[in-house]
Amino acid sequence: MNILTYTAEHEDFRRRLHEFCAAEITPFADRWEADHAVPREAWRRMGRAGFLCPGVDPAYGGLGGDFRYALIVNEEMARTGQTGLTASLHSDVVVPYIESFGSKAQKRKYLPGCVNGDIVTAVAMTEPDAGSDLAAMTTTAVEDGDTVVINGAKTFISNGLVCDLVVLAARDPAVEDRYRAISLYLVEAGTPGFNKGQRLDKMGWHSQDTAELFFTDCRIPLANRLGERGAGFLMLMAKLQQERLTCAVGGMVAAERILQWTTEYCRRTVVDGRPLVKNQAVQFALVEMATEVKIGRTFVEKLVADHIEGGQIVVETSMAKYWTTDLANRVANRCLELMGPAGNLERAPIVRGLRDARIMAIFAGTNEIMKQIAAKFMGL
Amino acid sequence: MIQLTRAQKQVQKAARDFAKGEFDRETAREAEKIGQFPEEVFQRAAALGFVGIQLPEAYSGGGMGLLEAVLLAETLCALDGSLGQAVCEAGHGAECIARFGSQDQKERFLPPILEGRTAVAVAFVEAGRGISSAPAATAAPDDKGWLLNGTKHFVSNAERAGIFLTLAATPAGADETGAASMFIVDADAAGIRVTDEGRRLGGNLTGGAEVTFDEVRLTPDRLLGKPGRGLAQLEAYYMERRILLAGQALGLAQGALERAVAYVRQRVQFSRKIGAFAVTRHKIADLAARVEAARLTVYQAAAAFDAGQADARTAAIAKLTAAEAAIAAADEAIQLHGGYGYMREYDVERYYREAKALSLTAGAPGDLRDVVGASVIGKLK
Repeated sequence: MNILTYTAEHEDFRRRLHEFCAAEITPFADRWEADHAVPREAWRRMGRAGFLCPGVDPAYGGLGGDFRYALIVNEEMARTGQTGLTASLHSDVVVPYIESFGSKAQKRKYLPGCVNGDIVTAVAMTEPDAGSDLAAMTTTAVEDGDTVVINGAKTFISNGLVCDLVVLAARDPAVEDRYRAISLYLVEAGTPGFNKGQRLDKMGWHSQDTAELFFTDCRIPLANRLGERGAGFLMLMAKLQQERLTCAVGGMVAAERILQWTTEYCRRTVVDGRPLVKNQAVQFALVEMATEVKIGRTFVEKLVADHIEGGQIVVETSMAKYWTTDLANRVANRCLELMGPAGNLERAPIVRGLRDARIMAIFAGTNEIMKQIAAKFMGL
Repeated sequence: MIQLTRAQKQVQKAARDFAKGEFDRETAREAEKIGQFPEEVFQRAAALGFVGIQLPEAYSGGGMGLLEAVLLAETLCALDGSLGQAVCEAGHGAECIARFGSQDQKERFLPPILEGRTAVAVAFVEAGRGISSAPAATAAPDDKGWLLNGTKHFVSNAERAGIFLTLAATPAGADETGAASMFIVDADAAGIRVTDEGRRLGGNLTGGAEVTFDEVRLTPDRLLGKPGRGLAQLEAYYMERRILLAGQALGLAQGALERAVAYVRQRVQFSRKIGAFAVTRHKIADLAARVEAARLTVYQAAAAFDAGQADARTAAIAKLTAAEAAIAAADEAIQLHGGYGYMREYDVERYYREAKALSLTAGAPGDLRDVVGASVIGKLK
């Protein structure tokens, strides 16, 4: 009995996406990594082909699909060898804020573009002094009549440079309670007073444009507030379950891909006349990693099933996020060891995989925060 | 019980003063990004006698021991993981000439290397061969010496090299099979092709290349050490090399730990310094314990070498322990820095990459475990 079953529609989506990635993304991965950027056109192509925001309601151009589509996209994109075109971030992390909390007008205005690739999104929560302690954010949003004035700076924002629309978390300086002060706003790129900083230079995710965003007396219409005033933190918490599950899927597929490549490498690499894979120590290492990867896959698929059923799985998704991302890092490290000095060359794809895996234990809430959250919800 | 002598403490101080004056973090980051060897810094290190500190003074070495070389490596690599390694690695190979060379070879080749005028590149490893296995490269004897043919991989310093050291199969004597010999090869000899292997995870300052020897002429004076004794010499080389690399790894571990401590002491989240959290304390504790254990193992191995009592097992354990400590420390340092740990600007990600690269050099963990395991278990009938 499979934990997840896929319909013919799912399989057809996967097949077409697989072909799309092989034609439109994978051949360009190395160039995008070297350029530290993904061409805007690539997002548009992916949207036009129907692979962005498969969960969005058909009324706005989406497929109305369930989270199994998110899993499929994550798996197929993991094969492309690049991290700049972060379809999962856009489709499964940011756009759901608009889907869940947007007014009809906001949804009509923005969702079709999010689906067809005309609008690439980013979410801006983190600040230099508000990382794990998100409620410590100092970016302010002052509601003044029918406009909102925003001042402050955000950092480590994925899609920071390419984004057309930002879901921004900011606080009302007049409200003392740190949590009740926060609201969410939709800010369009190009709004006067909204400036994008330089691309941040990172260890990995080279094709992903992580940047700082600056707001200096940036005025947006009050109609662009997302949801209720002061409900920002609650909305963030409500959406973080899916964000964490998305990251857990990402960790799992990263581990699977690195292990698969390394297993093939060990099969075809001959040292002193013997394939590496015939060395008992190498075999046991591959088996041990394969075991953990299978356990991870089983756990994550169960959580995807629970999530689709609407389950409250805050503890489990926090566990899965930290566990699979730690696994991805463990697998990357151990696989590199099996390669010997060849594992130090960037031309081996798993070297990029190692660099890319490292951030997974940090973003979307550090793995320490995941344990903190699990502790809290376990009543410890 | 190892107590550092005053002279040894002076080596540490000289290294610290040098690095504080010469190692600029932003320069290190930029050089590492583009893979540019820090020639000026290296020249100044050579002028101070840091290159070949454990090799005889008669040939422009420092006249000290391997323990001093380890202390130097540890201090430099703690202060900058990339620059420290580059300075330590730039003279790597000189020890082969010092240990195996004839008087004439030592007089001729060592001073230019140790004074920083000639770069040496060690071309022993071949893809498809274990690192201690007989080479596929051959040196066929003729009336003028030998003709060298073969391809070597993962050769650091290849682009800068004035000479290569290499290992090639030579015809066995009646009593030896799989005989190999070491040779000194001029980098500008006809028939040598150097191909950059491209960007690396770590070790980008010294780089790596594939070096092909195609009918390269070697005259008799280019045999390094004894004919047919190449593999035994290789093992002696690895013994010293692994302890030196362990010293570098120790520095990477210490440097990463220090950066982690500095950060958790000043970063405030949830209204307190993150160093105050119990889990942070435990993480740092684990790192400190590992670094301490690695330090004792490495210093002990170096001291044993200087007393003529080191063996392959000691050196392999030292490298295994120190490399693991370096990876663990750098990995945790990244984690403790949060998002900043992933930014190049904060340097800890560079320590992690350098630690990983070092762990794969001159014996990946699997190779080292084979050496130690076989040694401890002993020959089986």
